Amino acid sequence: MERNTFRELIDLVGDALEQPEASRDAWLEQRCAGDTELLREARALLDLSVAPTLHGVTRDIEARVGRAALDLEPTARTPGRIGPYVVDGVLGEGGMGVVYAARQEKPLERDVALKVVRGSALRPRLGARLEAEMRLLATLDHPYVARIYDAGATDDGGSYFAMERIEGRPVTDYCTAHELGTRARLELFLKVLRAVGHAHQKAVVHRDLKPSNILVTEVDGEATPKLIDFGIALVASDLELDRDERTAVLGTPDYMSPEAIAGAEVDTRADVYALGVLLHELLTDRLPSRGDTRSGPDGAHVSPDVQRIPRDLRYIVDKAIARNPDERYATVAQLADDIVRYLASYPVEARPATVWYNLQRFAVRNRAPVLGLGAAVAVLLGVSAVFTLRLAEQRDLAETEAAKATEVAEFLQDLFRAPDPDVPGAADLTAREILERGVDRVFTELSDQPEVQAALLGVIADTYGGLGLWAEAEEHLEEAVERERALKGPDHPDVGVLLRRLGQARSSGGDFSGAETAVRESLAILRASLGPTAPETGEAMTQLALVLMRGESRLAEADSIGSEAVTILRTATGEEHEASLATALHTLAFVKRTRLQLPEARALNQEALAIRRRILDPTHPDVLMTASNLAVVVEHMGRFPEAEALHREVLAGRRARLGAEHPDVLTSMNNLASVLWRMGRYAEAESVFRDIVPVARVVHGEQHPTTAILINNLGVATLRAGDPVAAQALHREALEMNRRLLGEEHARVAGDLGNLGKAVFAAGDPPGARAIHRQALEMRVRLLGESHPDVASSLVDLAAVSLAESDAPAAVEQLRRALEIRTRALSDDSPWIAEARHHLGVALREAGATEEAEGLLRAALDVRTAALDPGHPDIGATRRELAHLLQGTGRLAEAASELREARAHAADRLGESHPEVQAIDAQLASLPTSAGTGG
Amino acid sequence: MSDAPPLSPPADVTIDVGEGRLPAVVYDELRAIASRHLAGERPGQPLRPTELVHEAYVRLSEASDATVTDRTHFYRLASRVMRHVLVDAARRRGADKRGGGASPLTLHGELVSDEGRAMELLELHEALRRLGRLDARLEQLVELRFFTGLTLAESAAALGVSPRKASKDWAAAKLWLRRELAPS
Repeated sequence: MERNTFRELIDLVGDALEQPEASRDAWLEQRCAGDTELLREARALLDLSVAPTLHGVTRDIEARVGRAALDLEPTARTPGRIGPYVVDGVLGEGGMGVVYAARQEKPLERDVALKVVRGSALRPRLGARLEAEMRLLATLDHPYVARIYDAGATDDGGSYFAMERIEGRPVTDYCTAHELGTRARLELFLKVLRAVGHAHQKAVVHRDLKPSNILVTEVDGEATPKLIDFGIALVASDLELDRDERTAVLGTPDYMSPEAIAGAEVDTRADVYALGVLLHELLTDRLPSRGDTRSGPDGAHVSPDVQRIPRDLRYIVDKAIARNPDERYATVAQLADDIVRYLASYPVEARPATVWYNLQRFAVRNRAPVLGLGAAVAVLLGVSAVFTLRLAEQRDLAETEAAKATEVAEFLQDLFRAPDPDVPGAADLTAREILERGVDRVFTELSDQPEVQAALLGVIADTYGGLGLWAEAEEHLEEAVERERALKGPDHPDVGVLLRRLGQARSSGGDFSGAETAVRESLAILRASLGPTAPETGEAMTQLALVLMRGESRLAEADSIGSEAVTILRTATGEEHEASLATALHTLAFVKRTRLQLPEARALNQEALAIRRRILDPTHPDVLMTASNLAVVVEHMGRFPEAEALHREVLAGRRARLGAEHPDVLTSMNNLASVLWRMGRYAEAESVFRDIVPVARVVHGEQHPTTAILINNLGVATLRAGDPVAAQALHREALEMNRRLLGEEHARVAGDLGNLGKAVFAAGDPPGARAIHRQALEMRVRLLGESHPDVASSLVDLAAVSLAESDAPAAVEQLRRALEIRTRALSDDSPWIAEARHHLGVALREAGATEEAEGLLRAALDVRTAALDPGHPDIGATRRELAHLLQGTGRLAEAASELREARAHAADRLGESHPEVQAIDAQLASLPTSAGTGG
Repeated sequence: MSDAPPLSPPADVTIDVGEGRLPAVVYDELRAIASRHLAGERPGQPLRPTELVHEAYVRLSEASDATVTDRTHFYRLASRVMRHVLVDAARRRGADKRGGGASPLTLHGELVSDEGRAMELLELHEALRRLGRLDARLEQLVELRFFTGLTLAESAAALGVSPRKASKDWAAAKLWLRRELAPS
């Protein structure tokens, strides 16, 4: 085989191994694209990867190399017999002596590892003690502990230990060689802990735990540790040696606890220390840093450069290797518990507990079943901030409040603290069950503390809200409002703040009029008690603006109240009010966007983003949400590259923070794909849509507005890819879902109808399409008014049907209306105006108004050329329509030139054999030959 | 997991071949390499492969064009030397068994071996040479992994390719080797 072909083969096989096994062969065939030789070679290699494991190759080669290397070792000093054992060879050599591979012949035949401690290293008085120790060691009986069979004296005054011979490799080597991930390493480590724990229960301390004493073998394909040399270090520690001598005998001091190095008494916690060092090494492939262990008993520290270990694991390692034994885990079992907790996303004991931390772990555990818990956590934090704020403002209440804040914090901590993961069923508690438990406790345990009760009800309500359980959230907030009213009086600002939150919960739950009532009441109380320009008043106004947007879309009022909120909060100072200002700006931007005041929306979003970036972490959800909204605004403005960059930034931030399957990540992926779509990168967009719909069905559920949007988008992509039947099914599903979720009359339902109409039209049923588009048009006019851009979209859709039925005059009329609407709403260089001009140009051409048609097509072409990528298919589409017109008016050379331009881009994007390219070729061929060659 | 190689000769280590001496640090590194890959075969306390290191040391200092300019070069060179030390020893053993003229060993002590062991290394060696003729970088990658025990990340760094690339090459090369080494 030639070099190039071989490289190609290796690359192909390397890529193929990354494919799922089930679809690997299909993938391979596609990649080989008819190169049967390459396909055959690749298959032959890949067949070898199936069974037994690929890892067998590594082991085989390692064995060859290792044995060859071993053969270079001189064996002259191997004695023939030690005690009752026949020595076969040398297994290894350490500070204490040599380890031999040996055989016991009587009373039973078995292979042993024989550890011989040099005579000079031991004092005679050890004999009796050794025997006592051996009896203890012989009680160890654990599958992960190598048996110790026997001990005795050698002829030259040394001692030997006969142990079970283990064919394994040091745990660190094993993990590296098998390229184990963190979870697998932790699971293996847990097994080690079980073995050590067993020994500790029998009052045996290992004293010399290190990778070379923890060998890993595979039992039924499962990594199984075997601990060797248990208790043997005790022999050395009993010697009257000074520190340097002792470490010389024991070998590496890397795993020795400070107290052991200092020569002090050691107990089980010395093993905990060694295990902590090992854990560090397993997680980072390096030892923890520490000062000169020989000169001072400094404890080790987690290497400061090891930032890749999750913080919880760093806390665990830190606790295990604390310099002071009292600060370590008291037992190996406790260390194991914390690792189990970490693996199950429960709070670890090593970490200083905070409400925030426990909630975070809670959120991670419940990521799949819980919708938007991140929001609940954020809300809860906001609540604590409110408590703090009150403390500063009302000194006379300071003491009660401080006590209350502590009480709340402790209660929450307790509530969200993990149930013991080992208790069956405890880990299955849902967020909802935990909350219900919390509610019960609020009413029973805290009945003598009404203040705390009221505060907690609010917190629990917000958490319900975060879980999307709006009815429960509302119920508990109403209860909290009543209690605060009774405690503090109906006009107290705390009542006002709670009412605002009640409004928020009702609005999220879809009760917009109830929300409006609560927020207006809140606003009245806050205006009266704190003043019309107080920041809290501004916050309530922001909430009101949002409610007005969501409900009957009273846009003008929302705009004016939102603007006033921004004005009030601009004058407030302090970081917490900056956050409120950012929220107000963000909300007003949303209002402006909906009113299609896009430049204003953009400026507001930019300001909100700047503030949030300044006061928050760059990947904070609020930062990302504002960036995401800004991206949508600039996308509406037709600034696609700017939108793409923002969406990518948001997506990266959300992925890093939330993982790959979080709802917000799906949203970002969808938004990014939408922009790619608008830029004409259909294949890229389609593959994203195809990927996320199944995930959304699981993450959001089968009945969710977001799932509906994603299904709709997949439908659009499917239609573009040329499958109108499948597209119809998807659009019908999205339509039915939205009708159930949002009602018969909704802007989204209208949008679904429009897309369904397009699919029906493409499937060859213009009358059916017309009926659907009319339905959508009428709904949009009712909901959004005559001059909303969505109405223009319906008109464009209807015009396509009219043209297909050769009713050019009707199409012209529909498109004139559409163009007029879009011209009013958008700036002249918008791609949407170009779209309307393009279609109107085509309709006019068909209606015979050639001159006006040409002007419109050329104007559309100009804008599309300026606004879109040179290769965007819309540009090609306009060129082709223009070419038709030019051909019809006898300007053949010009027509040919447009077509060639369109063809070049299409071929570049789609390949020579694509139907679209062939269609252009056919159009070119239809031109008289003189034009075709004239240029 | 870690990107930092556990073996860390200074980046600017230079072997002064003219004087036929290696800096102590190189000697230490060779010892560590040998010890690591022997530990893979024989569990428990790693051997002290003094003889092996000595042999490698001599080879490295005798290499006429061996001016080690950086760490990655050191690894590549060391892995090649280790391989040839082992291969030569295996050849000699094979020759001994057949009664051919054995060249004197620089190793002392009596060697326990059998022809089978010698053959299996030579077989690997030949397979690697065939691999090298098809793709020199793959041969070097396998050498770095098996004869110095570098991790994938370290090998990638030594070859100047991305860890992902190295990982894919590694997986594919293992399959190829598996076929070559299979008892047919």
